[in-house]
Amino acid sequence: MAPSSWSGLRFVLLLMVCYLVCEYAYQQVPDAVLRDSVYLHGFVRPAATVVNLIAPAEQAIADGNLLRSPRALLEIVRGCDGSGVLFLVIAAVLAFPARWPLRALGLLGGALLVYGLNMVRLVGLYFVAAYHGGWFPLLHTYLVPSLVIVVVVICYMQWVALAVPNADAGR
Amino acid sequence: MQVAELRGASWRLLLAWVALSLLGYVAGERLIALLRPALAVTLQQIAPALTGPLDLTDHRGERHLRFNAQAAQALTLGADLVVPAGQPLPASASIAHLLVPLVMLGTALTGWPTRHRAERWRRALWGLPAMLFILLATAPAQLVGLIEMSLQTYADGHGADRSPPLVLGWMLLLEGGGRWVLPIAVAVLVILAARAGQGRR
Repeated sequence: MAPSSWSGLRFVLLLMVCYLVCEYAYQQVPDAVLRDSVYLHGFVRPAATVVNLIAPAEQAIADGNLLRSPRALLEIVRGCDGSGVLFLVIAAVLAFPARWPLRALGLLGGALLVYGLNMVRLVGLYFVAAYHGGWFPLLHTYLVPSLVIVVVVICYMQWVALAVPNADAGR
Repeated sequence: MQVAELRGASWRLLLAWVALSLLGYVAGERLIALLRPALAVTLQQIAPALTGPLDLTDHRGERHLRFNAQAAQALTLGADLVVPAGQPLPASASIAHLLVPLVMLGTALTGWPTRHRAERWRRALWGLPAMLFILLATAPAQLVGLIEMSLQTYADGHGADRSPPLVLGWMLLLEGGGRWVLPIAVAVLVILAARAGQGRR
């Protein structure tokens, strides 16, 4: 088998293992901790602030894992928090043979990117739910998740482009 | 892969995503309908204790794949907790939701650059069974997982000591993000296989 195939197989194997480790750790976090702390402070409050900044008349409030207003109600649950995408980024960065400073850059940049994209997704879905409820299922279940992954993969490829000379040098 | 090639692939991936999302929206239900027999066989394999037809239905304005399941035999959930044979246990999943892994796989396979026409053909050749594999590895598990989740909640609520079945864990893994990771991993393998074939020539 060609060396590139070996490194590709190694990448896939490491990707899966790293992802499973992240997912396992995530499953150990109790629902109450996610709902009352992580989602409230990390997602719902910032999203409510952004919604009210964009449209003060919305009067959006954070209520535990609920983003609510007189017009719409969004519930943040496991899977809506961007964790799957974040774990994918972590796994992909760790699986690629880059130097550790670049990996650290990839992890930090990736985490910020995923958080930012997820915040845009939450705020966007809030307005869709409030004003175009009929579009919500299609956007929520079909278009937005895959678009987020495509954007993340594209950004990951830019990181790989940075890391490739280092990976080559390390061989 | 060269740096310029990596960067150029970004646009192709985005365009592929737009095209395949549109294709899935227009023709996804027909694809699921076409593959319903394969989905039904897989359901039978992973959940032999359940029986029932697979239907395409409307649910809150969305098209759904519905497993009108019932217990084929009495299901023992605990010492004194039994679901009787014939008990309806339906589950349904949005077709759009089921198509996401296929869109991801298709986007990666069509958007990632190829070096030769032969490689493109080999990728397409490997891509078709890969798409079938992805659909069969995700959609039936989604339906059975939903049923198992209800049974698990019911068992837990009645204090029954029931270990969560493997398919429930698989479904939760897929729902957490596994339905993106799996097609990406399979896409990398298909791309490598198509390239390896080129190398042997």
